[in-house]
Amino acid sequence: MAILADHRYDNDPIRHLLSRLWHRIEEQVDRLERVADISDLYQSHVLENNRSLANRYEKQLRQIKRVVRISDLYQSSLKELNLSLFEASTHDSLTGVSNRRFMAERCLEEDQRASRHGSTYSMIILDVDHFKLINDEYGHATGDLMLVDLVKALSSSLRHYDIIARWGGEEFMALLIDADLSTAEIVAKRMLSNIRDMRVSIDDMELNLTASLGLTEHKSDENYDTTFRRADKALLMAKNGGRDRLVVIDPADPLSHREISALAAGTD
Amino acid sequence: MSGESYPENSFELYDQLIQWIEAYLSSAEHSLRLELHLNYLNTSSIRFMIDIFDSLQTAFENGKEVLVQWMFDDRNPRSAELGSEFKEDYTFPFLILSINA
Repeated sequence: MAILADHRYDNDPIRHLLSRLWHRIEEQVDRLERVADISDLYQSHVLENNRSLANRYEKQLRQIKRVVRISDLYQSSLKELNLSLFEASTHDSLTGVSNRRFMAERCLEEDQRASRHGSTYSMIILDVDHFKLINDEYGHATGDLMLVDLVKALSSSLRHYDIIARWGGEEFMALLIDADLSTAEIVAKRMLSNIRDMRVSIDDMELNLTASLGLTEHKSDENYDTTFRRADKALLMAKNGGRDRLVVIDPADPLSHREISALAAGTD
Repeated sequence: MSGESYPENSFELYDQLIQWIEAYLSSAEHSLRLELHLNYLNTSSIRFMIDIFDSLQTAFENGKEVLVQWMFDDRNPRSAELGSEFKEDYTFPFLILSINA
């Protein structure tokens, strides 16, 4: 620039070339600036576009999370409902123990286990003595309360893997898993003893009840129905023998039976 | 609206509903009250319910009078919880009410 402005070089032959070169440089710089401007504009446009895409993405992500959360909630409430329906279909609503349907299913499983593994089980059928009289004399609400307490007494007599079910109105059945007759007899005597000790306070009265029990053991190759009939026969003998007692039928000697009424103190 | 929703094609069902709601709300003087007794919604129905609430929110921001009453049964406490999950960010009136009250 300084050389071009200096008049001493006006006639220099290179001056003209230098002037043209300088002009071209200025043009190029100008062009570069314009390219940079356009490029900046384009970049800010892309940036803005990205931002709005990111916002939309964030919004949709939030929505998906909400849908998933709500859907999970619905599913877990269905699961809870399912569980309570299962409970309702397999348990007695008054006493909370298994119902006949559930017990029949368990008996079937035990039959299969017995035939596969040669295991055994025993069965106790229990019927409250003269329950109709309790209902007639004190009302059904009192009868219900007594059944609830009876179930407590029965449950506390069981080993922890035994199962008890309400089989009918005042009839209960206990399935003693892996118990031979002598083990089952201990449990049955404990039941008899706990029932005798049971006192139910209603208003100013203290009521008690008695029950008759039939016990037998499952015999290999028979199904639970046959075992049940033998236990039921023992129960009938207990009833006929004067109630408030236990009758045991040994499957090895099904025509005879043993009757147990008196319990030694501290029976366990 | 009441009941359970698990249609085979949720779009077919809810698209009509959403279109109706949007058409209804686009008319100047209409206000809208939605009373919901929803016991079960499958996942796609949940998505469309959110779309419905979104359009109520937009209408509300444009000065429309909208109201949602989410009804639940005390025996099913989960349902109230679901109502508040749906309500979440909305600023329009969204009431969660017991049918036993």
